[in-house]
Amino acid sequence: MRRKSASSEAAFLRGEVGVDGELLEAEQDAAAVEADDARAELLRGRTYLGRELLTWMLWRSESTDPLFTHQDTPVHVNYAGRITLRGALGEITELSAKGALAPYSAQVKRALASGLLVHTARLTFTVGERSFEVSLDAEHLDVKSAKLPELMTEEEDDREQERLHLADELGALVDGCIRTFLTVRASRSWNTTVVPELRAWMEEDA
Amino acid sequence: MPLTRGAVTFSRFRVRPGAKELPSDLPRSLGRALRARAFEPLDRTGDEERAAGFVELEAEDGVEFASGSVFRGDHALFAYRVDTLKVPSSQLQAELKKWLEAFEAENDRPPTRGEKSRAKTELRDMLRKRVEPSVRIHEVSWNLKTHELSIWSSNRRAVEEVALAIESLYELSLEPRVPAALALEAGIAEDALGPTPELIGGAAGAEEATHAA
Repeated sequence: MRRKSASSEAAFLRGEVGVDGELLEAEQDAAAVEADDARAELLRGRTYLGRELLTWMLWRSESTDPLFTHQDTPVHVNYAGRITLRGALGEITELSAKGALAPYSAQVKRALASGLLVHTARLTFTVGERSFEVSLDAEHLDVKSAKLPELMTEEEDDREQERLHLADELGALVDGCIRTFLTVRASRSWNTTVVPELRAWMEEDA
Repeated sequence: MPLTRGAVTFSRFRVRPGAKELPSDLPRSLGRALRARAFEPLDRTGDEERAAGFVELEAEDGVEFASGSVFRGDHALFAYRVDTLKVPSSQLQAELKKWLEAFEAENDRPPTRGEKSRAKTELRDMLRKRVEPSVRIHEVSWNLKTHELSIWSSNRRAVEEVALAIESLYELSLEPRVPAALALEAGIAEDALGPTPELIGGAAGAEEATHAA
């Protein structure tokens, strides 16, 4: 009780609350502005679709099944390293987790269950024996800091061509993820089966 | 050059014809179009602080765009150069302080507002000739077969500027490769892709969606 009263007094002295203990208008405004910004970001260019995509891929990548096939070769996706979640409705608008297994951790799933979705992630596409590592963001789906598979050619001009070809292929892999997601997203099963299963997965460690 | 070595960062677009169709002899006409919007260096004696335009990929001063320098297989490769020339205000203030001291020592009075303003302009012009412009090169690869275009930059504002410059080449439109654009391509109706309340609203959203159903 004494501690609560001391903390209220400290908040008053810091100018955060008024004599009645209520948040000052400026503080409330800052929170409202932040929430408005988060909502605007979510809707801008339909960023929510990108976040749903990256979240759906995270869920699907826990299984060992391929996500889709590219030129008749199965494509597996694996999340590794840093992951950033963002939301627009709760008290937390952004949460970051770092660690090799962070994307699949119970903490991340709990955050997803509370309404945050994946906004940026580092992931690996495995296509046959080759792997492409890339960071993606939900708003633009830009390819960032990607590592392409080892080049096979030795001539300088051929290496440039091969690199361009691999960069195009990486773009095609990202498109493949989007198309596979959109097929599910626009189907009836999205609301009846996929979303309930996805939520059950998010809540399994809650 | 990020396009030829190191980690890879780029923004992806699909090239769509705008008001006019793309020319059928694109490989030949692209050089002309790039030359028409080629980079022109800043004039050190002028007031402009920024210059931007297209250059060859392998020569940051090259603006000939001969087909041998632009085309590699199915790709057209070129770059967009942005030079910025800005006199650092700390440097200008330091020079102005020196001038003020010298003026007062010589004239036994502080300078008038007009004298100070003229001196400031002269000092800025002098410093413009000494300062090196900052040079940014943003590479572009355009696959003429698949109509995919990549701008190799991690700076979002730069990507938007380069995209606008490329659009102006042929009044074409560059569509970002994002889910909304791919949905449109696949003929998926816009109203089928609203936000999913169960995901965006967390548990409360899920409950709300259940009640709504």
